[in-house]
Amino acid sequence: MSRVFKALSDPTRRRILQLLRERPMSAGELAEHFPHAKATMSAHFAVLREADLIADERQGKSIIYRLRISVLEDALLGFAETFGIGFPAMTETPKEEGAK
Amino acid sequence: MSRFTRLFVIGAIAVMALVTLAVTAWRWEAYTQGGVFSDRKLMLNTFALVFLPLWLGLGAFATGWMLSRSNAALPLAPDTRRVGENSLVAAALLTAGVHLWTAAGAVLGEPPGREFGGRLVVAIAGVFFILNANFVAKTSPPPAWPDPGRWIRATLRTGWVGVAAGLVILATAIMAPLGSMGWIVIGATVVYGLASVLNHLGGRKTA
Repeated sequence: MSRVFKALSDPTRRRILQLLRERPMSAGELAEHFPHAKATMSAHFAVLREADLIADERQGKSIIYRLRISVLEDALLGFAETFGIGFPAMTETPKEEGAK
Repeated sequence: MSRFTRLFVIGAIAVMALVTLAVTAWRWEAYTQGGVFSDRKLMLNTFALVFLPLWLGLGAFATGWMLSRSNAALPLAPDTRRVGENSLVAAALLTAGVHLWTAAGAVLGEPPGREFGGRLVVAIAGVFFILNANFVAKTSPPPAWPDPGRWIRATLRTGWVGVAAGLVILATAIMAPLGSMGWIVIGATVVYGLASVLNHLGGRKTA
């Protein structure tokens, strides 16, 4: 359970979970939503995978991540979002801003 | 369905059927000497003793059908299969326990610790609902599912409804009057069942 708390305490990881709620995405697609370096994103994915909040599957050259969250974990995610646990997220990339 | 699950469920149904037969033989006199279904308690006990193994058998048949629906296009994911089988084994244990308690009631005239026992059974059912629904939300879509995103949202919705139903059942076990407990439990079960079916059908649609 401590792994789940650790995973949900970071706004970037919470944003990844929110994005995966829409559909499974590749590491590259997810990384486009964040200004972080590839290594940082990989570390976030590893923490989420360790907490069993996401599942990964290799498809050709890319890794597809899928949400794998229980009701309790979803409730904790909502709680962390509501009370803004962790530091403010830098979730929107310049690319996204430009697209709007 | 795995061999272990099948044997476990068949074993539970066989034990319940034997217990039902034994209780019927024990109470035969009450049935035949003007007591045939004139005693409301005896009637309810007999109904429950016959109903429980039938209910488990129907549930096992439905789950077995779902788990074996492995046509090449839509085989279930291993974790979905595992959750389904574990739920079935837990349901068999719970049903067999309730059956034994009801059988003791039929033999003794009153189930042991009637009110406490009844509330305990309902509370365990509530916890079972909560655990089952919590993990149902974590299952993976079948590999060839048309829209995995829709599956994820649908199972999560089903999980929330199931947890809410479980909480209602748990609250019922603690607070509701004994007489109305059954109806609330049946209502919550029907809501969870309907939500599962509707969300499953909704999850199949393509985007």
